[in-house]
Amino acid sequence: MLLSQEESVWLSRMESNHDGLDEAERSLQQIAADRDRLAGRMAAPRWYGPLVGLLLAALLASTLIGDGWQRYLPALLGLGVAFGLDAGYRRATGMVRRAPSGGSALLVQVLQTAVVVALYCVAALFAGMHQPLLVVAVALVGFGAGWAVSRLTDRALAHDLRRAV
Amino acid sequence: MPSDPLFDLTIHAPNRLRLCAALRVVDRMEFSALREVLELSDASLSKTIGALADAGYVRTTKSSSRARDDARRTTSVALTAAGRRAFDRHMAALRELAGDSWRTATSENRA
Repeated sequence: MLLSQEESVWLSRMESNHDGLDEAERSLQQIAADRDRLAGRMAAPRWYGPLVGLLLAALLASTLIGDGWQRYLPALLGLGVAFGLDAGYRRATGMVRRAPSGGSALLVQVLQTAVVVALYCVAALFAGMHQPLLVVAVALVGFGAGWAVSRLTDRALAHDLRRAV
Repeated sequence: MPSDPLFDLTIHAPNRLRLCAALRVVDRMEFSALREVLELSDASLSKTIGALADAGYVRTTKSSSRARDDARRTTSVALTAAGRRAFDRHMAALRELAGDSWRTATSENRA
């Protein structure tokens, strides 16, 4: 590792001096404390989870709409609402999150995708069987799942954030 | 992949290090959010951002905001690729220096 003269002097001072090690530890502790505050600030606002749940419920309920092009209209509307939710999150928290890079957040994202696909398939199956009440029941489950996954995402992000570089 | 440890004096000043650490885990953050998280004054945060921007480690973008009543614009701050690299290597150097005591303290906190 090549060091400038200034860096070499600083490093040798740190390595030979107990205060230097304390300083390194203090810096790392301060960063950990900042990251804790950041995790709190990064959590989605209260309205976010229920809206995600509603969005998923609407998507699932859209399987009741006929087979024509109208069937895709709610999905398109949902996409617009999802962008709106994202913009609302940015405005409320003042930050743009990174794509999940930590293990937990990535796992939650995979879980979220699996839940959405599975619930949509079930809803479409019931819709095909002309069972609107069951589709509504799946949509209700979707509402709860969307809300829960939103909370889970917050926790996973906070968990990853505290372990980040 | 772990970065090679490399001490960076530009980053090492406490507020600069904290700013980089906060920005490292987000895409970008508004000035007001950073001020709240780092608990710094406007002047101190501006100075810190300026020093890191001069070094090419952070970039700022200004945009209009409906949240503000006045004509001022909100400032967003992000770490550049060079800033990310420098920060990762600096953190590796710090962790190497802090050694086992830091690892023990961290694992105790997480337990």
